[in-house]
Formats: sequence, C-alpha cells, structure tokens
Amino acid sequence: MSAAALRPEVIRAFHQQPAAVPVIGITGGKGGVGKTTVAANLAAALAAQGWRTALVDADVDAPNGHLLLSMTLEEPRDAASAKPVFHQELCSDCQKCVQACRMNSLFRAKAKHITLMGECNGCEACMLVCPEKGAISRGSHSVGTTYKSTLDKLTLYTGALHPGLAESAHVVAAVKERALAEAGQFDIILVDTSPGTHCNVIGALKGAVHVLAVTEPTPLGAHDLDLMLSLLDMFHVSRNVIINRADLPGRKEDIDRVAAAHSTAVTAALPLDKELLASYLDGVPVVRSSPDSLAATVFMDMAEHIAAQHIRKEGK
Amino acid sequence: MKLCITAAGNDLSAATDAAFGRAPWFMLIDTETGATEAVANPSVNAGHGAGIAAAQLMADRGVAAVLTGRLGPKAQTALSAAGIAMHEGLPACTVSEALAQFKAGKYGAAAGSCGAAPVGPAMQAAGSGGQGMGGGRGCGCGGAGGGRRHGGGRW
Repeated sequence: MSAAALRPEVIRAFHQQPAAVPVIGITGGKGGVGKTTVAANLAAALAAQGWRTALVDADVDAPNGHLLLSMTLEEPRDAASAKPVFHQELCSDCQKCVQACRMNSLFRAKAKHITLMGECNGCEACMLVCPEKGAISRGSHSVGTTYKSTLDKLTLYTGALHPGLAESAHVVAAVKERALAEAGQFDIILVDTSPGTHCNVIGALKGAVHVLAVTEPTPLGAHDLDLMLSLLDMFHVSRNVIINRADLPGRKEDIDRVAAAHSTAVTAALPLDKELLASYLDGVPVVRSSPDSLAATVFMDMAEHIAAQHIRKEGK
Repeated sequence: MKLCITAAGNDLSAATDAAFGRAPWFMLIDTETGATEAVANPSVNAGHGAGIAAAQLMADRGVAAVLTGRLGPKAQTALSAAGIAMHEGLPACTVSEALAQFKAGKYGAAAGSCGAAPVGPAMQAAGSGGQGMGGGRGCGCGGAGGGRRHGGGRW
C-alpha cells in the first residue's frame, strides 16, 4: 500500500516549529503498546536529570498520563470550539452555508432562517463561504477541559474531551497550545498521542522535531508500527523505534524488518521488567521507584540521548 | 398536499424503507392529483446529519407531510421547525399500499400541521437542538444498519 505524496506546503506546515523549545512526540499506532508508559517515564527521567520538562497528554478521549505519575488534574481551563451564530437581518438567503456544512448540521426552515441543529466540529466552512459580511459571526461552545499539574521539574498538561462530543481535535489543539504558550518555562516538551494514525495523532505530532514510535514484538505491534512509520514517512518526520515488552517470546524480527523497511533505527528495548510493572501499578515512574532496575536504566539512557540531541545546553 | 414516503426504489411498486435520513429514495406524491416524483437521497451515505439533510430536502421541495418508519430526534426537530407533518410506523409494504393506507387515515390527520403528527417523546428531548447532542450517532436517525429495519409497533 503506497500512500499519495503530500503537497510540500502541507509538510512544511507540519514542521513549523511552534516554539524555540524542542517538541518530542511519543506515539506508536497500536493501542496499549506502552506509549504513555514511555512518555511518563521519559518525562520523569528528563526531570530527574534536571531538565524542566513538560508532558502533554494529547490522548483526549482517554487521558490517563496523570495516573502513571500519581498526579491530580489541576488548574482546569475550558477548551472551546467555534460555532456559527446566524444574523438573519444580514442574510441574503444564498444557502451556501447549508451546502458547505459537511456535518449536514445547518437547517434552513424558511428563507433566511438558518439554524445550527446538529453537531458542529468548528470547521468554520460556513463562515468562509458566506458572502455577506456579518451574516455569520463566530460564537463558541465548550468541547473539553485542559489541566495543568506540576511536580518539581515536571509539568503535565492534560486535555480531556467532554463525554459524548466529537470535537476531539480542538481539545488536542487546546492542550498543545496551553503548553506551548508557556514553552519558555521548559527545556523540552513531550507530547503523548492517542493510538492510531488519524487526524488527532497527526495534530498531536505537528511541530515535533523527533518522534518515538513505541511498539511491541507481536503481529499487531508490527502491523500498526508499519502504519505509523508510513505516516511519519509521508510527513518526513525524524523518528526511532522503541520496543516495549522486548523479551516477550514474540517476533522481534518482524519489528526489525518493519523498522528497516522504513529506514528507522530501533534504539531502545524495554524488558518485561517486574519493577516496571510494579511502577505501572503504583503510578510511580520506575526511574523514581526502582532507579537501579533495567527499565529505569533504559529510560535514563533514553533521556540522556534525547537531551544531548535536542536540548540547547544554555537552557539548563 | 405533497406527501413523502421513504422507499427502497423509485416507483410506486417499490418497497418502503423504514429509514428517513438514509432511505435510498424519497417518493414525493401529490395526494390530490396522484402525481409522483422519485428523488434519490443524496445523503444516503452521509457521514453525519443525514436526517437534517433529508429534512432540508423536504422543506426545499415543499413537502407537507412525511411518512416513514422512524424519525430521529434531529430530523424531528428540523421537520417541526419547517412545519412539516410527521408520520412514523411505515410498515414493510409497497409505496402504493402505504399511500392507500395513508389516504384511508391510518396515520392520523394529514393536515400538514406538525401538531397532528404522532411522534414519540423523543421530540421533546430534541427540543433544545443545537449543541451537545453527541448521542446523535446512537439515536435512531444515525446508524444505517439500525435504521433500515422496519421497526414497528408504532402504529
């Protein structure tokens, strides 16, 4: 399966650096593969090495990074999405807005009476196509909440979509924006994505200078890693592969083959380590709970490499 | 009065279709003259809002009453706003049989006023309309699979 090439301006837009601080994405494709485990432990390792670290939990449908860090969600802030507000007196009844709405959410009961009746994903297409100045103004509706929690040098930003809503992309954007607005306070920003290779994953990874693709040595891990690396190929994103549960009696050679097919290095292997499992259950990063464990060593080593490659030294 | 009967095909001998927003065809019938027009549903595979889009088509075509199997809450809100009468409980039969039943008064007064429409309590739930109806996918108007069934017992 070969994907169509993206237009250069799309790739350029993806790589626009939102801040002077390096943003590292943690993703992988498959669900339950250990993305958040890697993100939380890497963040804790970077913080333990003295770096002011932000971790953005961009899995807004099921944010749970705070559980692995025993942090509580604090400083709630509303995340809003745009929605159209119609001004009948300025409407010329062209109906372009009704036709433009991909959600089929605009209803014209009679001339100039346009109502938002269904879900609104905030795309603003109706506002773009409206030829009458002022006939549609930009209102907003709440789609989620962002949180900020701090523990020493580690700051966690969490995005949470309101249950039942579909506008997750806006919450992903909002939680990233909140962290990036305070980027000057950090040496590095990690973004933990949701599973999959969909828009919210792409949105979460946008602007990342480097991506860690977490996988496991199983057929599902290899399959979804292939999808993820194909996505990263399309956007020309620098990355390497991290194998979680590396000593599963599985098919590590499949992972190696997929990685090689995408010219990607496998740079770390996390063992099925009792200490890592215990830290997962206790919600304490393994670099703090069992600093001498093999898993902790892998994370500290990973943090050192990432800091050396991406953090400007004068920041410390 | 222009009546819409949701159908699987494009003539009077076609089978009825219980879905509204995702019915393949809308059979528009002038109950006085008998003139019929088959309109293919452009939103049959829409990702979202097929019910609202279908209601818009009804309003644009000057339909006065809709006869279908089941209406989702958004379609009901839209049809109500446009003053289109709603009749649910369309059984599995042909369009012409359903038309005969309709003319015989089986679906209540075909007065063209939404007040006369025998719709369920879902309408009140949809009354607020607008935002926050995230359950839309799960409701009757959403899934093509569920909506296809001739769900009856409503009449």
